[in-house]
Amino acid sequence: MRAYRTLVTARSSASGEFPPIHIAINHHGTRFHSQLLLTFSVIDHTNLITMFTSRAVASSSRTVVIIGRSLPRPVASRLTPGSLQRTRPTQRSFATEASSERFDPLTIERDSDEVDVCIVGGGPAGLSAAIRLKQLEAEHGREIRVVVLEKGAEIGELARWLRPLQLTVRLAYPLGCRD
Amino acid sequence: MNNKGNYIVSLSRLSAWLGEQAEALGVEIYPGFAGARPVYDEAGNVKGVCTGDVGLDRDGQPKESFEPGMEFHAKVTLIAEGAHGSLSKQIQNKFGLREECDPQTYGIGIKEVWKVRDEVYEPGKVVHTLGWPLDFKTYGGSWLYHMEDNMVSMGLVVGLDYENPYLSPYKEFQASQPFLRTPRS
Repeated sequence: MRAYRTLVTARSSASGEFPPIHIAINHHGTRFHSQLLLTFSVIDHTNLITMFTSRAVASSSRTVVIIGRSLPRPVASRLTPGSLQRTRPTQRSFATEASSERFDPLTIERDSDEVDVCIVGGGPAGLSAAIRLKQLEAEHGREIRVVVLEKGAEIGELARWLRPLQLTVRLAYPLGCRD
Repeated sequence: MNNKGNYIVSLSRLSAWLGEQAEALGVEIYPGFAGARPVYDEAGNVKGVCTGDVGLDRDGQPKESFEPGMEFHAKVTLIAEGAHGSLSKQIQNKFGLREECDPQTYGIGIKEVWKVRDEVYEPGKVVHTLGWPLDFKTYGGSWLYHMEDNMVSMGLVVGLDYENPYLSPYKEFQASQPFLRTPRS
């Protein structure tokens, strides 16, 4: 078992959501083997640290082609040169088989709340209904509890969860490669 | 058609305004909470909804940050998700609400918003076209609204049952319709 800690430069390849990432590693002539498990992280220009764990699927003396998925982690506040060296990347398995203890969302304990009217969707229809219900009940001198659940971060905001994944990588540090 | 004296509004800004009105009346609004699934009582009737769990990994297993969603039980549950809502579909499937209904129809739409010069800006102008500029076999239409601040919203919708496989809704929209081009020049 040998650990490497060297500067690497990385760039994402052509477009695509999860392109193979070509990593050129200056590892002083040491050859990587094709089944090498790589675990490393990179920092992009937005100071997000991105962890990669993958197997090298092709290798030469200077270049390893990585096919894996990046895991963005906003840990910019912790980024100092010292903490970089102490940070140990987590190992991730890529098993596709289900684990034996599956989590079942139907069996766990949940808080519940009693309301009079629950409206799903904070658009014009849901909000109009909520307003009118409140007005009608107020006319009769009654008070009802109306709850509106809205998926968006705020009312009137369009969904922004389709933002394209950012894969531009400028600087890279490998934190540990084992063979 | 008589459709005068109305307002041209941005739907998202209308929703934001409606949200303020609703909160002023005491409606509890929880943004950031999506309904994940309906909750049924013993008899199988909808008695509320459950919000989504957060902090699950890609395999659906809980992580350290796991927070279970909570249930809202209600006398009345109103599903107002809009087109293709996930809860709407669950409830439609469970109660067979789409049976013996006309099938859903689909269109593809292109919209542009332009900030235009004063010379071509006519605040409040509304233009709708039915069918035009498409050929007579193709279902669709367009709109053009002059909104506030020299902004113009314009677009074209084409029904997805068009017969000509070479038809490109984008190109139809970009084509040389003078009245669509005028505000852009």
